[in-house]
Amino acid sequence: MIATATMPTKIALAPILAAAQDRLFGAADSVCLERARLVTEAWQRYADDPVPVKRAKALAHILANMTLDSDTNPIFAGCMSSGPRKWMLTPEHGLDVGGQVVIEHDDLRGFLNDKVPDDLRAFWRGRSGTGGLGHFAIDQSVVVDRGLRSVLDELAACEQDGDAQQREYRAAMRISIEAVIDWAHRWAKQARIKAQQTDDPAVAACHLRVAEACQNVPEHPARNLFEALQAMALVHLAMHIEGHHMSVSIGLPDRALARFGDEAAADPDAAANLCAAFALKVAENAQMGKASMTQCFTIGGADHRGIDQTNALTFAFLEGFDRVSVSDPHLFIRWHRATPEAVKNKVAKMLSRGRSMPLVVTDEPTAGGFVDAGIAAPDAWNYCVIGCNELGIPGLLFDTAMTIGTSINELEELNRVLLDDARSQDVADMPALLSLLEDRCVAVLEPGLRKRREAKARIAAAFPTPLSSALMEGGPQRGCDLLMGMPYDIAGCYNRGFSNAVNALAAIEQLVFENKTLTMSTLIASLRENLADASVVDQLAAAPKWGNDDDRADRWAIALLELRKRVWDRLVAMGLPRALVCHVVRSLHHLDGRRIAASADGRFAGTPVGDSLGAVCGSTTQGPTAMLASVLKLDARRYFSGGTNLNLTLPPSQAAPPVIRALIDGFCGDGGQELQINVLDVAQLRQAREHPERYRDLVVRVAGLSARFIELSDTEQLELIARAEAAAEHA
Amino acid sequence: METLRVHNIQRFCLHDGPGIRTTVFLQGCSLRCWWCHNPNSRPIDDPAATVWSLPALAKEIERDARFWRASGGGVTLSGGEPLLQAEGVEAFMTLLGRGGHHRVIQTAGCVALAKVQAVAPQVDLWLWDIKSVDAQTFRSGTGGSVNQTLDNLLWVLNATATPVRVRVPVIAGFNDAPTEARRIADWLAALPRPVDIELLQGHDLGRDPSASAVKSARLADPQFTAVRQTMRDRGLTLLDIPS
Repeated sequence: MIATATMPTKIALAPILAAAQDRLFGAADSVCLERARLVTEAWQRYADDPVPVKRAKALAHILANMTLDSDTNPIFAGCMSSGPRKWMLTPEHGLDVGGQVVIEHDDLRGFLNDKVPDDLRAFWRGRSGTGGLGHFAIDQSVVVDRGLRSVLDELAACEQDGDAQQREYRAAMRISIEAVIDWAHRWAKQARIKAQQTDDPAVAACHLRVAEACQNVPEHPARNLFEALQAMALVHLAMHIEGHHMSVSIGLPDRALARFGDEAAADPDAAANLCAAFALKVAENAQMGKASMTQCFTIGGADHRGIDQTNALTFAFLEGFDRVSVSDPHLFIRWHRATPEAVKNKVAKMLSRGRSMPLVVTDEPTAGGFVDAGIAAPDAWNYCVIGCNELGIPGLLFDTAMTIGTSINELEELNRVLLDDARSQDVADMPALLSLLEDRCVAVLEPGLRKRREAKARIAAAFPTPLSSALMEGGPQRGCDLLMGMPYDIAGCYNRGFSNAVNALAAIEQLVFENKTLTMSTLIASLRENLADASVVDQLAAAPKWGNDDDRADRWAIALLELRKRVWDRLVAMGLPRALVCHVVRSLHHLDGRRIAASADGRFAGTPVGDSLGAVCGSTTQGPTAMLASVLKLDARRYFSGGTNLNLTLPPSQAAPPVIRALIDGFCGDGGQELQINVLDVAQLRQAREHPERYRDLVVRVAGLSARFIELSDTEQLELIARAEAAAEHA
Repeated sequence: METLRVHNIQRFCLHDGPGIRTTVFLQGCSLRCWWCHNPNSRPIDDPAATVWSLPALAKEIERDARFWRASGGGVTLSGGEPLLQAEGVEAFMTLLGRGGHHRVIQTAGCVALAKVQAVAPQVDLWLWDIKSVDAQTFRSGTGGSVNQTLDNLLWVLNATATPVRVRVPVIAGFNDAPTEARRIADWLAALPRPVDIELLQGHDLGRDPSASAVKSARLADPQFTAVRQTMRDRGLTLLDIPS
């Protein structure tokens, strides 16, 4: 039974927020073994249960026994480990630190080596595997407006439907949902005790508010803004505890919370503080301590009728993210023709100050790309950003953001054509070279795409996630894992190395086929020798470069994308699904670069490839508007219906709010899709390396992630300084 | 066909008028300022200059029109001295005006009045350099006639309603003495209608032809502030210094 609605409690949150921020960001990374122990116990105890049920019981066992950390951020209930930045381990999916995380934070190399007891490692050897892929957003209306009890009702209503596997999966969903409800009640109970233990009346009030809320949500519909956010926080963290690794996104929180718009409008300051505290709670996601979990909030935007969906919560989230210096979650603002001036100006101000958030994504090309892919317009216009900058729809579509088995690095494939395909020596012209590249891309993509469903089935069978699956639209009725059934099943394909490939093609055209100052065989020989011949390097460096609004280079960008279209046409003709392509990086441009030999754009072996769809660092001569103009030549709706990332670095002297406004308006108003503006001051970044203690709150956009600058590896810090220096050259 | 001799085109200029602008630096200058940071733009017949047909030049710079529109910016013709090519400039500005673009002329004003008069109807904003108001000082630093620039500016102010922003480059060893700063301030205070006034710091590097060494045109910050104060004391309102 739902208790009588209560009035929201007014608490002075600012000092509590500041202290919570200090506790979270002041903590060094360490490890919490609780989840690893509890999941291992459950795996042993329920060994004979069907896998989905075992997984659900494991979640229940963890939630029932884990430490509840109410101290780090007492404003909301919810945690994943026993303290701030204590890694929560998912041994089901391995006990190593990922390569890209090490690129971002080199001090985390081998971090877990001496922190995981031998018995745990021994148990999971041979048992762990790929799974918990995240990269989705659930339907938050289930959590906020209907409550998890409604999911239990739905499950009960279709309990007997379908085959045994579906019934079994529904049982797992039920166990998982009940576990989350019980977890909330645990939080409520603990909060009442905590309220009595603290001497600080404001903190006590926080605990009491949590206690009251968690007795109601997420089981029942939220009665006020606080409860709604509390429900979202608990469910979000629970899905990670279930076993999702990263990139579980919040979706469209301002839309999900629209019915609390009046409450937020009545007290914008309190609403902003709640949103700040909520962002900080999401930032407590402790799977990899300080490493980014690429959790996205997407706010603003229009619906399919073009009606602006901005509400008081849109402003509250903007303001909230301005008040706390979280680097993750990431905040994206959806931009469209009728985005209110006040929103645009607030965004410009935040970016101008170097906040590096929000990131901007434009509605028209993005929703348009989804519509072209066969998605109903009302759903397409409900898109959100997932992960680094991939796209999906809460509760409806996420495969586009996950791209199992389909990824292509165009520079790498071009290099393989040049270095491994003997025919490349004799190509007579650019079309002949592109033809080889097209064949190569088809050959690379086909096997992964062919095995996509099989790979998904394997992961779903070994490591199902019934809680998350139950929170997708129609999840209870389908009675299967989200990997095996979603309202929209549309594949995605990751793309990287694009900018370098464009530069390489432009150089080959000019030097080999036009000026004839290089032969193809000389070029290839030089690539094999890591560009040892300085005269070749000079020629390659002087060739036209992508990102300068120079058609001699930019037309190769279009040629490459048309080539990709032909590749997909061929794959579709082979009976394979057409994927939506997303240019995505995170920080893989370093890992990719290490693998890729010297390339015809003048890049040496082992060095990074481009960090976004924009110009390769150091190759622009015409300033930011020229780079945006280059990118605007690419029809995002046609070519990047899965999303793009475009990093634009500005020096502070060129980053006044009206200038940033104009750059965004000019870009987004003319078909640009995603824009990540980083205002970087070379001197400040150098200072931050010298005196990190003074720059704890300096958040920067790296590539497909944001981070606290002082916590980044040398590699990343120096890359950001190089970008800042390159930008300052045009100031 | 009408053409313009162009020294350089620079996109994303933030200090040559309002908004985001594309600045076209035209070839040729009537002055020989020792602190000039771009002396290559002086000779009108420099072979390195690019000769553009007007439609082609318009098309080239309109690549950034989306950002002009978004920022309230536009095109600035600078130099060199753009008014040396007054005929081409007038035709080019007319062409840009037809496209609805905001047009700025950045001039030192040392040209025949007829050239100013020819271009004036097509100008949306003048950026007018006043380097000195003293004939001898002006001639020694620039080689030009101060009366020409001052009279031309007065004509613009009296005969047109086009907004004018006076830019005073404060150059070490040229016009930074208190007496000179006061003279400029007095002259500006007596103008027939209000203008915006902007003081510019000299560049780090200039080349004094009378000295063999490179000489800085830049004032130390306290001295620059003192010049600003002199202007303010005369009742002038100054625009913020562009960073």
